[in-house]
Amino acid sequence: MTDWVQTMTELTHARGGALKRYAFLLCGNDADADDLVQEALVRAFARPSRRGADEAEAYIRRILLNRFLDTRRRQRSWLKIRPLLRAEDRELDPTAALAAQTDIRTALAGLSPRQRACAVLRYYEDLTIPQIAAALGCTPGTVKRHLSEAHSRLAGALADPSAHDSKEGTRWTPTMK
Amino acid sequence: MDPNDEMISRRLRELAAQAGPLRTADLRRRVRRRRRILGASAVFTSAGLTAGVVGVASVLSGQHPQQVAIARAQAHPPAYCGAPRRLNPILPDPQASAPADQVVLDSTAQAVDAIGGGGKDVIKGGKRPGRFSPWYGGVEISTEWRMVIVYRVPHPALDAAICDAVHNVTVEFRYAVQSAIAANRLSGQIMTRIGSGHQPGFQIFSISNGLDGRVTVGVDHPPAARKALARFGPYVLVIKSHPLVPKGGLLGWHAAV
Repeated sequence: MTDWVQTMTELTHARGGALKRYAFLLCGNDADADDLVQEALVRAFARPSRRGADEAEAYIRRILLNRFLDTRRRQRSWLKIRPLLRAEDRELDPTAALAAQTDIRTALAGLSPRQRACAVLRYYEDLTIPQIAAALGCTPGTVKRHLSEAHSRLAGALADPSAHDSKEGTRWTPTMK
Repeated sequence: MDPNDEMISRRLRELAAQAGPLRTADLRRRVRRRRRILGASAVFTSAGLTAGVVGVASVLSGQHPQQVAIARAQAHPPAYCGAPRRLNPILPDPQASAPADQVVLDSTAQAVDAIGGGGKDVIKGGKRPGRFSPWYGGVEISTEWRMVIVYRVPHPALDAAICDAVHNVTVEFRYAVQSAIAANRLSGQIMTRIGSGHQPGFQIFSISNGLDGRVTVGVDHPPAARKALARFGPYVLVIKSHPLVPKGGLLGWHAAV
């Protein structure tokens, strides 16, 4: 077995799930996440190198993030007109658990690709702001702006209405006028 | 920590747990195929660069690319057709306001240009490329010998078409290393990639296309420029030049010496 095959096999066995989850949060659906991870692995191992599994994982995560942002940038024009051409595939499930899950998916889908990447890196990968800035190739100020917008949108979309009501102590009721 | 941060973190982890396992069925084959493609393209790229920069002929002969280009031009002596060649030049008449037969020569040159270059300037951005544009270099008039001189990459059909159209004027066919279109493209590439500004080691003052297909680049330090421009092939002629300064009014530009 050649070196790269061995490294790739080790990596996919040990860290494949983590990479998939990371890609899943970025893309928002399973099929796209699979494609993204596979494409990143193919790109990482297509060129000869002597990286170990640890180095290779960091490299793949970088490729994954860059590919996600590039793909979204290229799809921007298509995404603008897509609602005019076909109806949304996703349907809301009446059950509460699925509704909650849809909430976070919908909230993430409402973010721009960079905001989404910032949110995933900050709240899922637990990276610091300078680390996110280094990963995205932008300044910490830009990351803070993206994070702030992502945070306010996610918090607004995911806030539990009952908790909000109990904290405020008042409940909004429609008037009969 | 903001309670919202914790909540977002928790919800993201819950969502991430919904991801299915990674499919790796076809992965190894895809990587192998990509490695093969990259390996093949690297071989082709290096071979292409070698052939493009140095020139296949110079690689085979061991000569400098420009020497090869000159030798190739010498290997193609001029050809003639149309009216018989004059044995003596026409001396300018001091009483005449214009050289003799200038009108005839001009109309002949226009006819030749229409055949080779593709016709009148009827479209925006220049002439529409014609049938013989890939071989046609340009035309010039010699009032002294009463002939038009056509520069072209040798092509029997182009020569035949011009000879059929011109009868009353001598036509001389001279060898061009490449067509006018290719020369324009080459000078465009030089302007785009090297630019007209200051380069490390030299500065470009002018870029001009010759009718014989060579592109002449005027610079302040030719040795450094030759080194940098070698990648554009053997048809780039580097000469020492001076910055162009305006003459004033409508008189144009001239080189400051």
